[in-house]
Amino acid sequence: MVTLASVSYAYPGGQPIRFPDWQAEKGSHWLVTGPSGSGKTTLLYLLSGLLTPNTGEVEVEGARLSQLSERQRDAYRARSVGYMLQRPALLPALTVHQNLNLAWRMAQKAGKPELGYADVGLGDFGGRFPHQLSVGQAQRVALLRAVQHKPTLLLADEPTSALDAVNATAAITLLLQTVRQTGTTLVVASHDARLHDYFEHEIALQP
Amino acid sequence: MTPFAIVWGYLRHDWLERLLNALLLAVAVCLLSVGLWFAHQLETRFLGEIRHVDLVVGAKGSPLQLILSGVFYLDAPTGNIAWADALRLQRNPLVAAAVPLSLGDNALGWRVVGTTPEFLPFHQAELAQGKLWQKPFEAVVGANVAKDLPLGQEFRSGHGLSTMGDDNDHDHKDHDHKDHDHAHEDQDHSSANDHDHAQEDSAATPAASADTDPHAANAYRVVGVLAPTGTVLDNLVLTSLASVWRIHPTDTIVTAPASGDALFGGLTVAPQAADSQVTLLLVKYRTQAAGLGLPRYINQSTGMQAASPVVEINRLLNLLGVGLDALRSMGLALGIAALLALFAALWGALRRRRADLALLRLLGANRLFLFRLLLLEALFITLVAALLGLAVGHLVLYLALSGSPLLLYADPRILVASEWWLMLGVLLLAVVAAVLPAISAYRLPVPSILARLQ
Repeated sequence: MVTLASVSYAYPGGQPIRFPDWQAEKGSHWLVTGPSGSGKTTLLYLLSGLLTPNTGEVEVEGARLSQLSERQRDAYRARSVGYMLQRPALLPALTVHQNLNLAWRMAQKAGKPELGYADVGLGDFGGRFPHQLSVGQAQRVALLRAVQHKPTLLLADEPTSALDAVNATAAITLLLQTVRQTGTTLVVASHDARLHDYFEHEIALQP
Repeated sequence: MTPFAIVWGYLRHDWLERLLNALLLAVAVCLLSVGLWFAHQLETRFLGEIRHVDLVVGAKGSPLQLILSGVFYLDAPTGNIAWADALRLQRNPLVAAAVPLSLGDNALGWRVVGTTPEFLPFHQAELAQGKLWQKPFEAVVGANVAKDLPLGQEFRSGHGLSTMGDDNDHDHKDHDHKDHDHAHEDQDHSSANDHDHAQEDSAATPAASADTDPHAANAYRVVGVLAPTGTVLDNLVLTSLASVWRIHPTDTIVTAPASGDALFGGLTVAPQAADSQVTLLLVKYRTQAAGLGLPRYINQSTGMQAASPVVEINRLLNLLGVGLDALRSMGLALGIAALLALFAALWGALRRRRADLALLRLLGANRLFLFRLLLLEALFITLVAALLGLAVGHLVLYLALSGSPLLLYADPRILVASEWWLMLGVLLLAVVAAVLPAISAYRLPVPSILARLQ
């Protein structure tokens, strides 16, 4: 369960953004829409604990994020959150395997993940470096990195905006299929109109 | 994935730049370590050797050469002095103690020193094993020599001050001759001072044949081993003057039994004082004031030369010191340049990697983790550079000194204390160079960087 109650946040020198009260069941899939500057990305940061609200409370699985210390929120983000960005941000100096392993270790996980390359439709690309992958392949690696530790919450910021229609459909289908497998609550922030049909729930943020 | 694995990934990613950083730093460490090592050896070892000797008295010639041969056993001696003159000087009221040395032979490359038993108390040396020599051809060896010539071992000496190899035959004659041309030139200036060794170098002399060479005919035996002193004493073979005189008997008339003179330390043979020679005399003053008059008296009123080790070595150190200062200044300047380059490289790396670092935070890395990453990278580069610099510096020292008698004094494989401080200092400065980029990584504004990434 993810809950937002009376949450607002203001960047230094900026107008406060007020977020609607919100409750999401475990395993539900949400699309966050709204024009630029309406706070889509900020909402994801608040849910990940990277930012804490000026007012109100963000609660994930019973934990009030603003009451955790910064280190505890870092640990929460490593263990309970998966994060995907518009561009598949992999560390260029590390191999695909090392990129995946880094996130796995940060999540304080031992052993090996159940999900593998096959689950995101990839061959064994572990020995390659990010610059040796296509954008689509890299995005799949980023998806695997975000879900391999079976997080409570998967946050995706514009995951399809950089892709053409065919690839966008494939990407969102794979994303949904994977989170269904892991029972993860999914929150996708996007202004991509193509995504409406894939989500049963939507939060529309006002400018 | 440990922080080090990430650092290693980035080092590999930016390998050329990091390699150049490390090499620049390594050159600086190399220069500094060579300078520090030399300065340490010169200042502590050289000055340590001379602390027991106030004055060296020998044949006229270069005073520095006299010191180098008589105190450090490095150079060839300037010649010989008459035993009678040495005895007369020993009885001078300004002299507290005097020890004669007779040089010119070696055993397996270790210098053989004919002397009297007073040599030991003069240098505050003690026996670790065995006893003092009682008869000719008994020898007491230094701690290092004992590794080659242990207690009870028999050996033969060879003519020459340093190398003769491990053989006791006479193949060494040729290079011995070369080694000592210099000594003979100095010695030949006076027929009265003519060195007894010269006789052997003439092939025409029947006594020089292999069967009758006195070196080959007389076997020494090790009867005592000195406790380690950390000085050149560890590298000497000490024996009675009589042993040397017997091998080089030109001026020596062997008489038995001993004359009873304490200087002969129980010898069963004694030289006839009027004709015999020694190479030099080590002198300890009775009072410091003796230093004002005695050297001048010797230099002006006798046929001998007196040289003060402190004066000569300080003159040498002043000459070398200029070079060492230049080396140190160059090393320091290079070191500062290398650390500035390291700082610039880390700062540049931080700017290029802001997105990566923000991503690490997004994956759940805390601020301290990023701080540690940058520090670890700087320390690793510096440690590799410092070790490389030290290794190359000491390899250069080793190659430069190989074959040099200076090796007797100092082992280039061993770091001196100031080099450990250098290592520590370089690592600390690396931390200083890394701390600003690391703090900047610690305070990384993650949301604004990610916003630009999108």
